Amino acid sequence: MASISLRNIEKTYDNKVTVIKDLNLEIADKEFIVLVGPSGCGKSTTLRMIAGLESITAGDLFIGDKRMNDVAPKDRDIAMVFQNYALYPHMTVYRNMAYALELRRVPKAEIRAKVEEVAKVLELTKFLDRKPKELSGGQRQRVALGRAMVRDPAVFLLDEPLSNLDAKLRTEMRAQISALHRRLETTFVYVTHDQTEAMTMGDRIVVMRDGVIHQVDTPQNLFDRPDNIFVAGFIGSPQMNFIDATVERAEGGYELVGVLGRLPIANERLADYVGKQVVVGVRPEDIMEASECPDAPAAAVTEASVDLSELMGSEVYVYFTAAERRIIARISSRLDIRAGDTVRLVPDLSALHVFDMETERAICHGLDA
Amino acid sequence: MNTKGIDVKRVLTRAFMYFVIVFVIVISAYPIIWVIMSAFKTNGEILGSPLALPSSVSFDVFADLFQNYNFPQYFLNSLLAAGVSTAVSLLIYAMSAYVLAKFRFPGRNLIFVLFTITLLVPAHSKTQPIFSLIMNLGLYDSIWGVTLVYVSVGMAMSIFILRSGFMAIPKSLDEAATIDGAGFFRTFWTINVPLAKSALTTAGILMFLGNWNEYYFASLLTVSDSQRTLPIALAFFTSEFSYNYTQLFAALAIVILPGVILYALAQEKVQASVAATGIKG
Repeated sequence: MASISLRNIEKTYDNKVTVIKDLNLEIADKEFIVLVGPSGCGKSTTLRMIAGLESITAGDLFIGDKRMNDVAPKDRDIAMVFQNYALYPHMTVYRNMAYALELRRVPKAEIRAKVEEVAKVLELTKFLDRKPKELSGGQRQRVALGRAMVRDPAVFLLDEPLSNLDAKLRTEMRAQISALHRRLETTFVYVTHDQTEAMTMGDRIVVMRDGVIHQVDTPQNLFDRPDNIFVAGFIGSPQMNFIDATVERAEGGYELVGVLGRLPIANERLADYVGKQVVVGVRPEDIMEASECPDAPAAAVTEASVDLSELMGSEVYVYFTAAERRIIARISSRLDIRAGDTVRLVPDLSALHVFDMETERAICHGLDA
Repeated sequence: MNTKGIDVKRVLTRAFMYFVIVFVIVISAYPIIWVIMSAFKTNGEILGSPLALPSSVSFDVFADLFQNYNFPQYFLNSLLAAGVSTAVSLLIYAMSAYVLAKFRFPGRNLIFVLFTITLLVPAHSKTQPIFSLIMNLGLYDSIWGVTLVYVSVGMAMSIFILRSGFMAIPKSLDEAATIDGAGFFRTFWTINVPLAKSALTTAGILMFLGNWNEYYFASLLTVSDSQRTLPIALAFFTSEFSYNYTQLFAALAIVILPGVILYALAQEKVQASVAATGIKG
């Protein structure tokens, strides 16, 4: 049983700088949870507190049902994979993997059997006698994973383990780590700043900023129903477009009136906002060329001149400016849109997100209706 | 035209560079070579043609020094004083440098500054307290008294070198070891010490050479012949046998050579480590 519970956790350095504020998080046994956020958001600090590499200023950390605040890292039944792998350069791959077991005075034969078994799983058998510097980035990464695996820990902590790899290898390793999680059936806590890693690997994702959790949810829910403007902007690439609009009452509901025309939306949560300004979020992939969407109301169609178009293969990123705001649309490349063209664009009305301008919290999502 | 100008400039720069290199090598290496060369010459040759090569190579004079004088004893004393002090101080300084490099605690910088300040205090100004201390310990006229003093001699510089050596080892390795279950001493011994090999070699060699050649404290703290180190013996030798240049130079060669050999063996590590520290030799 290796659930992790962080209760009212705080971290302050030198009694001055608070980097984690009242953090509460429940991680289930065998869950793959990803902590994601921009640099300095406190995700690595949180992971290091779970590992015991950072002291906890206030609050309680439980692994299983045992309070771990004052327990030494070696007694927490955890293993950690570091961003720079942290392999011991003077030891062979075998000794790197065996080191933790040697310290636990596990019999030599048992160590050998365990290391060889893990090496086989990770396809490292023929590298066991090599030093880390004789390995490629991907192989080093696998050794780092292997070093964690030989110990059969209850919790795996991974701190940006793929950020030193090139794009192709990162995709490969992403799949390998996910497969490893399924195979080991252990709790994984994974820190990354890369939202693709977060979206593809996590059972649930914790989005953090400035030491505060902004949302904890499944990848799909984070994408479809972001709690606030920060999460909406952080998840998804290219970033969600944000447009100011005024809520007006209209036939059958409300209309969001702004630079993208009059966008009808029927959601009673907007009742309190009539006459007020809100922020409307539209993902680039939810803006379409009007010809692709013949049923769209004429008032929701915006005509715009294309500033720049970037061909990405099957689709093209179209940049245009509306009321001094740069807006991006992801449109099928078959339409052959180029810079200087005038296009008629319409947002998918069922995929709008509306946020309170002051609190930045979500009021409603198009999918709610 | 333009290319030619650049070529001439490049050749001249190169030539100047080589001139400087050769000049520095000659003025630093020539005296050593001259001493070693003179050890193989007769008195007449040394006085008659000081720059010429020896007419024959014979090791008799070295054998004579070891057989008829107390040179084995001096050599052993020097080896003991320099070797033991280097080993002991390396161990102590490595541990202090490791803590200074890797741990944050109140007063850390102050301690480091205090260590560094000792670089600014001339050794001679510490004569009186050191002399009293050695007398009180009953170690006057003993090679162990000299050894004890040598333990402290290279402190500031060694801590400087070792601290930057340990600082160059990523902290994540210590953290990985902590998670693997290694305690403080094991992390130091099994992870940091092997990885700080260059810094340890450098500090060790510089300390050893400093102590091997040290004269002042050895002359101050020893009187009897059996406790002399090589530099002291050499001083006596110079005044005693000032007419026998061959023997004098042979004795000098015995003093110089171990240091030169030791440095030659480890020069790559020393250079790399000194460059990383930013200490000048």
